[in-house]
Amino acid sequence: MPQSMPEQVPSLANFRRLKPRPLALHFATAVNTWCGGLAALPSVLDGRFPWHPDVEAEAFRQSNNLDERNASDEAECYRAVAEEALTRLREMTEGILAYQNHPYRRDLSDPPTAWQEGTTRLLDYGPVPGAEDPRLPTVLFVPSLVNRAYILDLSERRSLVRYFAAKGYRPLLVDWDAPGSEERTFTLTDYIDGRLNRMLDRALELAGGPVGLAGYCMGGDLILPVVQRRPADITAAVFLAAPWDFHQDPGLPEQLLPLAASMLNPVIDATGELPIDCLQTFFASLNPNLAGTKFRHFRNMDQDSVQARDFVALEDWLNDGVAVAGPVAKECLSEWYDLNATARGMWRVGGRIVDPGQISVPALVATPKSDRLVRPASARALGAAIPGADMIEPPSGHIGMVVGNRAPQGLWEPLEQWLANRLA
Amino acid sequence: MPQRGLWLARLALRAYTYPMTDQSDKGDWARRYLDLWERNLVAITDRPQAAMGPLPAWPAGTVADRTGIAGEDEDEGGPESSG
Repeated sequence: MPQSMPEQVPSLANFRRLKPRPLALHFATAVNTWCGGLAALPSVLDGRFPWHPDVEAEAFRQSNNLDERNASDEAECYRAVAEEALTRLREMTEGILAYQNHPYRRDLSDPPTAWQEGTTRLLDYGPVPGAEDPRLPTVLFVPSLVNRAYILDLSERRSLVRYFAAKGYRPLLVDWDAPGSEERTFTLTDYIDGRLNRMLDRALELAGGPVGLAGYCMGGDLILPVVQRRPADITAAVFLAAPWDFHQDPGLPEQLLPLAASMLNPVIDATGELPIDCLQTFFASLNPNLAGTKFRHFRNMDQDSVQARDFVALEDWLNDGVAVAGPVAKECLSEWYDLNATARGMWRVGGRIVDPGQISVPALVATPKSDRLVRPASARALGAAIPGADMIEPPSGHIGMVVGNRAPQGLWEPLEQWLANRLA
Repeated sequence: MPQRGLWLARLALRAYTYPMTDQSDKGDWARRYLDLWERNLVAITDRPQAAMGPLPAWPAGTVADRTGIAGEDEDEGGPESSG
């Protein structure tokens, strides 16, 4: 036995974050982007560079500014762009270091667990957790399988579920957590017909009657079969940025993702899951400039400000993803992204076709205008397929819709008002 | 290799010591140029068809079939042969 203990016991608060992940990818992308701008300069200055139509006019104006240039000017252009590229890289690095060393830590406690199977928990945000109270309108919130549930309870001031609790609801939040030994063999049917159905049963017990059901992102797809098949148990259904038509208006990453399946499937077969960094790489590909832009922005923030803490809180969540069970990952890559089985009426859960046209309960579909993760056209297709669905378009992105500055006005309040009329 | 290491060290040192705000015309032009360059990259990522026309045909299910998700494995056959 040691004679004396260390003076300071390490705690989580003392650890520096080793994020954003994959860190090497973010740096490599930034270097490639900014140095790519330098490499393209000869054809840009010659007016031969094929700009995207969205920026072509501005590129033409900018190159005209250099029309009177001479050889010496061009040399200065190369030098200035190289220096600007290095400056940006340095600023991004400083922003990442500031993030890694920021003292903020999420300190919200989880509410009581109302139900649990394996790694899946049902968290009860009601005022009297665990008690049956039919007076309270109850909403079961279902997040995605690929991220942590606490995006809906990020911090005291950025919490959708605490907002609903304060408004007199009993929010129940599904926490899928990372797949354990049991869940690693799960299919979507296991999650939906098994776990989700049983959590709905528990929610009905707690509420003493039908409840509202709200799915966020992939969670919207998870609740869809349940809403279709159990209309007597659900008073209203909400689909927040839920993808449906995967072939509507796809960007480059979405089009390339099915191709990546041929590389990812051996990884899934070997590990039994789709590793987090594979998912993080896909997310990063949606906007190759994002890491550089946001960490340069963060570098300039007052590090003691509320804005800086909000940034760190969200960034911590973004980098705290979970692996996806192997069979689920294969289903999503193949049936959703590649085959588009959802919109083509071929997606089956438990052997039965999932058909939004069969939904008979009041439904609300939210499609954030600036969503890069789930294309607005993909989410709107779900609204169009559900008979009589109400639609809203929060003026935000996929994640900003639930935790951004405009989340209260853009989503929380209209969602609460819509549910109030249907759960009362 | 030692020369390459020295070059990288100089580059890193330069990145950390170069003055942040180059107020010259060329510095301003370079900032706007790289801003535009970034936006161009995002536009290509978001709407590749607008820049290069439709991507090469890749029929739905091709990958799933080829990787054995929805059907039998095939020993070979790229997108061209499958299309």
